Amino acid sequence: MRSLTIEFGDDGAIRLLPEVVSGFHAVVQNSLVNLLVEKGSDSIYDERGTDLLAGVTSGAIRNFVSACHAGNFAAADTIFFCGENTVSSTEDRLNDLKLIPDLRQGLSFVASFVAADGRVLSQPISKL
Amino acid sequence: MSDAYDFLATYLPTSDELDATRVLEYREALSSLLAAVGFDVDCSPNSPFGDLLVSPWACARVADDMIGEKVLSDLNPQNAEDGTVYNCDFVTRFYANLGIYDGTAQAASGLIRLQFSSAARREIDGSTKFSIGGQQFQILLPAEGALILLGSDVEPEQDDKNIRRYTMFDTTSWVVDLLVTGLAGTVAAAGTIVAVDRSIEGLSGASLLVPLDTGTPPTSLQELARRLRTNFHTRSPVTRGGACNMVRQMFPSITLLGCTVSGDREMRRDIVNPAGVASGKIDLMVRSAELADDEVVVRLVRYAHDGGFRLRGWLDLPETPIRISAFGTSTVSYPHTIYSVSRAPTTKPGLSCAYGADERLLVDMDIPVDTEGESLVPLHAEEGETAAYFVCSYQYDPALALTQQYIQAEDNAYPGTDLYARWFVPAVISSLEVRYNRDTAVQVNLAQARSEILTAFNSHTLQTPAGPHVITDSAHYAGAHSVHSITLQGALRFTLADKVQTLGTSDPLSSVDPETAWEAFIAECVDAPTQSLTSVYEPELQYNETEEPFTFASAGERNVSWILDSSALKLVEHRAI
Repeated sequence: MRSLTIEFGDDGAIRLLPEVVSGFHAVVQNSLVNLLVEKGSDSIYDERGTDLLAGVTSGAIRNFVSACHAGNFAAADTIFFCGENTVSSTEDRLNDLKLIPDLRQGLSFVASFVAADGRVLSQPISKL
Repeated sequence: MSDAYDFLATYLPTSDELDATRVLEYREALSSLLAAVGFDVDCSPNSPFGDLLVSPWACARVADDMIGEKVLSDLNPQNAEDGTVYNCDFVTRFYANLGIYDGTAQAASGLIRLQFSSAARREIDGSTKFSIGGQQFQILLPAEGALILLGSDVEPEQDDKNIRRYTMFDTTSWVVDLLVTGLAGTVAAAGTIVAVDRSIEGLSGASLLVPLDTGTPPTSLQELARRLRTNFHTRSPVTRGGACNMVRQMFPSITLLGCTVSGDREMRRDIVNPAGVASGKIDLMVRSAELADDEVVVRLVRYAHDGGFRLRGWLDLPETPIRISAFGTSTVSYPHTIYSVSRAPTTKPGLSCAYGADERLLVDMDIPVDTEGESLVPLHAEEGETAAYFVCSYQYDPALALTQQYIQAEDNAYPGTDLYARWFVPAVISSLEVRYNRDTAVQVNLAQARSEILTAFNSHTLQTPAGPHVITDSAHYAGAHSVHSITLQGALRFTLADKVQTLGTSDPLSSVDPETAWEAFIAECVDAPTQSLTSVYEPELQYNETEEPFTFASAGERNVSWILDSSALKLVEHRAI
């Protein structure tokens, strides 16, 4: 299953690149989008998105513990939603996701995506 | 493009109206379709293709569907009647194509009584204007040409159409009742003086007989939709509903309409088919909320009978009587016998014409005398006859009078259909006793219960039958604990007459050998049937003749209507519990 490549710019912009991404990489890309979509903002899918950015902008994430909590909930929501709605081969399905917070320079996360076949892809989510 | 079809402004749903479930269904269907045809693109949510193309397309597709549904909704009058209209302009134009628009507002209509000093032949031009309530009204004539007024025994000329006959009102005046129509919304009460725009010889007075039917023009799409649903099928007297709709459209104030057609068990006219060609028979029954009172003078002539004398004469009243309250003088009612004679025995034999214009009633009575044998009524020698005058007080239904004249109009006639306007067969309740229980310290609102029961019984229809449930409900809502018993006494009155001329055609008042003519007439008469009523349950409201001689009386759920006077209704407390 192919998809266009998304580039998440440092300035917050999301760009489509004329490159094709597929397989587990496409699943990870969809999961990243889901992490950053505000929950409840999609009139078609109630369960889409997470409260991660809402927690950041509302100031609810004040320390490492609250960041862990927010990351865990966002990861759980994303695993559930992407598992339900992503059409991909069995080995490419998202099996696990961990968001490790890092508060040393502002708030950032390191997202570790684990495929059903055990592959792991890590992606930083910074400048939140 | 016309504004009436501006889909964007009128039918395009807002984002709030989009049903997420339907959007999701469309979205998944499209994703599956693309996958099925080998389009290997990720359409899932959060994917670029899914979010930027598939989801918006699904929204647009659902919006497109909703536009179609709204258009279909506007095409369904049921929705407009229920108050859901998306494009009023379009719906108005759509209904106009089907003949339903404000311009067809019903005319106001009424019955005027013209009083003349003689029963001479007169012609009243069809363009004659009658001023009622400040508006101009015109006569509704059955055919082209002038209205011809004739005495009761005068033969019409060959070209005469629109013939109406005078009815004696008192010994010096004769009356004719006419249906007039005019501007919808005009209001005038019974008794209003009517001005005529030209001089009519011998006209001594003109007045409105019953309150005007204002015509109540439709003012809303809901009302138009209701009319479309009830009238669109047909407004011609060719079906049961069509005949009712035709009259209901013209006279919206009619409260009760019934119809029997060939094949109904209540229809007895379809039995007779002298030419061997069956034509559609339709009896149209109408009823107003209240009957109107009238009083006229009736002339009876003395005939030799069995060595003595009797008084006889046609009871030709201006309107079809529904009840006769008194016959005699203004203070005394004399015993008499009434015979029912059909004016059209081949098409409306026996009592199949009862309570309609083709039933002619004849009065036969002894000359009332005092203890010394002197006549109590003045006898007048007139034109070789000895006559006496009596006052007849009767009740008639204004709706029937209006309908009878309306359906005579050529425009309303339908080839092959024999339409006859008549009143319902009255189920007259002489006594209705309701015994109720009440809770201690609870006051029962008897006036409310009485009003509800009276209204229900006097507007009984096939769809809303009056019965024990009405009485029980009314008593309950008025505060009664329960109804202990309902006792009813009454009878179906198939005619006002006591006797009926069945299939015979002899003239009872023939001037040639009157006694023999009367005997021949009596031989053709039988007692009018009656059926006692002892309960409010409907099975008793049915009557079918099974044995000869047939009087052609019939009753069933389609042609029976209760008459319950306030004096006949008794609400009695059984006990407080």
